[in-house]
Amino acid sequence: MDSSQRQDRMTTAGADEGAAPSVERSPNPSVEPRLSVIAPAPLELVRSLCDEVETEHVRYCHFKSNVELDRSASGLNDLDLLVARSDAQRFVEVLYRLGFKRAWRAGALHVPGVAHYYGFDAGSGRFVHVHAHLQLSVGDDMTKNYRLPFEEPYLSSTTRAGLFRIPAPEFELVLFVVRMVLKHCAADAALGARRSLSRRERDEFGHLLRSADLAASRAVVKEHLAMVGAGLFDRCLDALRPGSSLAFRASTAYRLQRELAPDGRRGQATDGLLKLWRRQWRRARRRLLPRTGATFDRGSIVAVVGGDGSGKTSTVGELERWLSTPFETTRVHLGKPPRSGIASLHRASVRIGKMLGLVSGTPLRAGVGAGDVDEFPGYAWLLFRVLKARDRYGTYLHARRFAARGGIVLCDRYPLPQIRSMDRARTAWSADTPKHGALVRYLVDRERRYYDRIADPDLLIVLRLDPEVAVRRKREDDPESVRLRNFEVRELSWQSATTYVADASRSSEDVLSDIKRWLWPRL
Amino acid sequence: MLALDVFRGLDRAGVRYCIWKGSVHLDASLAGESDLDVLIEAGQRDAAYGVFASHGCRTTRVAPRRADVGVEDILGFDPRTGRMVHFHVYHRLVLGERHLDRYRLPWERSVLEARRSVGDVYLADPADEAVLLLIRAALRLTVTARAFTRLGIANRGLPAELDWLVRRTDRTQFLKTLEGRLGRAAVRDGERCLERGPTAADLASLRQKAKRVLASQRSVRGPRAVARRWLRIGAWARRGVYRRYLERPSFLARGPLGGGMLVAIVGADGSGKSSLAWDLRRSLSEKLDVMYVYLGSGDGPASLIRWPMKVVHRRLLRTGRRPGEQREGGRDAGWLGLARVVWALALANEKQRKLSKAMIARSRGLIVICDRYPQTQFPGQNDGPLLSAWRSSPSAIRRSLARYEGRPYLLAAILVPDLVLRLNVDEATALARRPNLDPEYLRRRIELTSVLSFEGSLFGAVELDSTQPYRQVFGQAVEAIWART
Repeated sequence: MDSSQRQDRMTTAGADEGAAPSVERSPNPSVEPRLSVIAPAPLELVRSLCDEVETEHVRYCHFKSNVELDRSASGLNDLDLLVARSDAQRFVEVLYRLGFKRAWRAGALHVPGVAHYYGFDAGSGRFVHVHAHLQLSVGDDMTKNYRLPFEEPYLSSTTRAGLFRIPAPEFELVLFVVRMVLKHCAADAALGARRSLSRRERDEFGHLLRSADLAASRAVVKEHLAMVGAGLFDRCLDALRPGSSLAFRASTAYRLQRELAPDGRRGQATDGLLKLWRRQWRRARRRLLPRTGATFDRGSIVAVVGGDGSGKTSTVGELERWLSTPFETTRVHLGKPPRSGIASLHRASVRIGKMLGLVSGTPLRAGVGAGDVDEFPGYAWLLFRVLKARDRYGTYLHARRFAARGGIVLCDRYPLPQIRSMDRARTAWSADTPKHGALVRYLVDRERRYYDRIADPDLLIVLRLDPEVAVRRKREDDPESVRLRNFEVRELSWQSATTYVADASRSSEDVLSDIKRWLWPRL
Repeated sequence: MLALDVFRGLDRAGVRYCIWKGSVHLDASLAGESDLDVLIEAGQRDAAYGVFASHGCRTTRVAPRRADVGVEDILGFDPRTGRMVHFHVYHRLVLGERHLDRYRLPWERSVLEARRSVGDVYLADPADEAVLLLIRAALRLTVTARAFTRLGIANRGLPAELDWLVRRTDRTQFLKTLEGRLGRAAVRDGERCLERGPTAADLASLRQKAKRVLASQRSVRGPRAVARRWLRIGAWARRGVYRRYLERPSFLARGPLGGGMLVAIVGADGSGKSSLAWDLRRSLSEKLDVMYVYLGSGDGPASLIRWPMKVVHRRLLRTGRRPGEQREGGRDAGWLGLARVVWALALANEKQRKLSKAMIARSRGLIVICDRYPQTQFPGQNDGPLLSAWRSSPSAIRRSLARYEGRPYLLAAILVPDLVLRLNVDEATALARRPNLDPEYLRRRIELTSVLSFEGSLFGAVELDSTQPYRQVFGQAVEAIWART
């Protein structure tokens, strides 16, 4: 699912929360009232961000798509903020103070002067994605090849409208026209599917034409974008109007690109080829490879542990749903790791052997601890435990590599040395029975080594639950085993800065909300 | 010192940190002579960033191919020492082969817990640091590195540094830590390293053990790791060549977070433009991607067309005039006039090419240092167009030549530099520095430079008094650029 699809999904979700269509007045006084679905109230995080940057005297503005400021304020749209370069440091300080984090998408376009930050609004449970532009980069989405060097006058023209500072309509119109011509009128776009403006873009264009003074926009072009010039600007306006011919649009875009060439990162021909290549590559990647989210500059393994019935799987599922929309997230089950080929083969062999009466001994799934058995449980069982440890280690390896590339790994259960009743080495009894041969000792050692290699998770969430409540929740399971596991988790001491202990007897919404609040600053 | 101030600030803010490598060179690192590798408690990153930012230190934009997960590059400028201070801020302990830190060592917490205070700075426990030093050296021991180590080219300082660290702890503690990190099997290698200094064989043996223990902590492996490493080596080599011999607009290492920046240095003759531009380039390019562009017509690099003309002008056509002194009547006549036209056109062509390259470099995120900048406010002087008088000539050829020559100047008027460093100098100082110049000419140049305006420049002009000692001027120039990156 690409960003636009995700955005649509978020939009739908947001619209569901809203009320019936009604006439709404935009916070921008120059924006006319229009019929739309009422967007949810502005997020507290966005409000704090706007207030803080005002207090810190950071010169900024919400520089595009200002007809939909309400959606930006409510976190449904990303925030496209242009920040004065001289105030960039203070702006970033504000972002970090509010708990925003820098992240980027693997293989995504790296445009100079643009950084991405994600914040979490705990009240609404939404993420806020800030595109911090320190320079105005425009062009096709695949390359953003050109810079419009009029950031300073653009910022000087801003006024505060509601939450955000927005530019004067004349400036916004100029930027919009240049953006759209480069995006929709270039030869490759004009011949392809991107030849026409989307409905939203058409609405925005119409609105800007109504609210901006064209003569003033021409003056802006003349003064600040002298290389474009008023004549070419008028031509660009005509090219965007419905009914303009393909040839006219393409030649206009060609001329505009030629004039902007000194502020481009590459020549027009290279840019054209790169656009084509990246578009095809993205298409192929989307079909062949799984979707990639944004990654942090440090990945994390987050383990969720607890007794049976404490809600581990639900919690991991909810956390995955929460994080995987914007970020590169994966989920692994270290309690029941995916079975490897050799483990499956062993299991099938044992099953067939048992049917034929060739194999005897302890059932594979039985736990054998010190004092549990009087006699040797059999090689089949021992091998099963070793292969289980190997599978757990293999899953851990996958998780660790994923985290090492900047992703977030959510682990359902985790082998921890302090938890003895689950997900741990089961052959410790061998120490008490040294009479076994070299092969047994070897297998026991193998299992122990696999678990020893699994390092502690970066962040640990412990779900504590009263054993009796757990037994009531897990009626179908063995009550003694459920009681024992929950008792152990409840009695252990979990004092650590990287551990969060949640009372799982509360409602799952409350537990999740607290976990999210704790987790976000630590990711 | 900036670094000390930052560390004190981190301590005051309750951020747990420690310098985890290179403590043997601590004083030099604090003075900005080498980088500082700081491990920071992962959960306290936001507080830590606040401290760095409050001391004027900034996160840089790292070329995508060079970025490592878990490490951030933060740069600051220390006005007291006049040096850039480079912090490698580690949220995760990552290391690996040269150019590819692909192993994460999951020991951040224990290293931070065992840290020790030395003065105002926290250092990793010497035993921890010694073990990390050995593991680092071992993991870096690729086939090539092994050969270089045997030849005594690589890892030359390793025995001394290891010895220095072990003297600050004790042998038993070091071996115990090594055993805790890499297992009992590594202890023998550790002992050998202590006894005879780490040899290539010892490091190779340790590498095997480290790789086994850290196998689960690799971000990439196999051919992908090899390809990534060689791509990085390629980028590193390219950057080295560009830094030393070529000026190419390629973004290969680091740049300002806010994108590229075009810095123009203007001033009268004798104000020290070229020295400052070269020194800025040399100093900034140690940390950031920087391109130097000479946009004048004097002693700087010239194109292949203009270079022989410069030689001929200097060697053969000595007219007895002092440089800058005008001929009677103000104009060269005859074949000298023709040469002047060819010169002007070649110069314009060169400026156009260099300006385009500078703009591309800026757009790609580099800092571009322009030694002088074309202007149209005073035609015929101070890097202005030389044939502007022909624009109103009745001859169509002359008019078109003037138009052709005017292209780069027009472009420069539209694409103004982001920052202008104007070097102001008085006549006496300029004359003392350039005694061969005509005083009248110098006075005129000083006047013109002082009134040059750069309308539309992002940060405008910063006035620098170049009669001050050069070190001060240089410091102010770096500070002016750094404050605006």
